[in-house]
Amino acid sequence: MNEKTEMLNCKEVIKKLYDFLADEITVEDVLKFKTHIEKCGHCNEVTLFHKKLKEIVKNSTKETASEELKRRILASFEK
Amino acid sequence: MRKEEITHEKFLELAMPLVDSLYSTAFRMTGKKMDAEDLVQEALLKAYGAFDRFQEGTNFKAWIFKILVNAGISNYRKKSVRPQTSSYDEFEEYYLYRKLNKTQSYDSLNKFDVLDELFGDDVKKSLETISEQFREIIILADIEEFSYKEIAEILEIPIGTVMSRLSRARGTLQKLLWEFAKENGYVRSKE
Ligand SMILES: [Zn+2]
Repeated sequence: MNEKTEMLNCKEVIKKLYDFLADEITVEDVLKFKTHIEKCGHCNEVTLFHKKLKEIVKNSTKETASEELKRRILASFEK
Repeated sequence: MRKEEITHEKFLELAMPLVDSLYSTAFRMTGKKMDAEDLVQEALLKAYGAFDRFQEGTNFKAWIFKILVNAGISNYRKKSVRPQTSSYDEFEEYYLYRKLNKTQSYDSLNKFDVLDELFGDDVKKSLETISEQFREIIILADIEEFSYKEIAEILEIPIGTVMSRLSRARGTLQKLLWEFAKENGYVRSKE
């Protein structure tokens, strides 16, 4: 491995975890991150746990607008 | 077609697919169906009025959410005092995981099973319990999946603040989830 693809250590992986899940790290770091969790069971578990937690939060609260609201909105824009 | 008609159509074409998302966020902000519906309508009318200032090619969703969030703040909650700058621990957003790691669960549920058990209502209740500021940022980041930069624009705060507020919000949410997990007997705390 050359210096550019230097490994991330566990501490760095955990620090970047939420940014990784939010797709807010560089492509290069994504690669390093993935390389690390492929080999490190602990960091892999921490990642999967938080990924799942994020999904649960996302799915817990979806509300949808009523058809009636949508009709009212469209009506309010009619001239 | 006349110019206004094109504008009118263009606006609806961009805005209508976002009504569910706007409503969902409005509902979380106001807690009431009627208020949420009024807020969505108000935001859409405001956005339409300001549509000539929207720059084509930029992010319409972030733009309209900013209008919604601002309208929501001025109508439905007192402009909040600056977020408390309480010290927080760097790894607060790993609270739940750390707790579960140190805990024995009933029926040998593993950490992932506990998450499954938490599904739905507990998360919803926890989200309703945390402060408006925390709830708002979790909705924008984890539910609507805006980027840090977009959230910074919507809330008009620096990116650094977005990130630190998010960790505190997640930490607070996880502490509540932990309480629910204990209450419901998914885990047995040794403490
Ligand atoms: Zn590791």
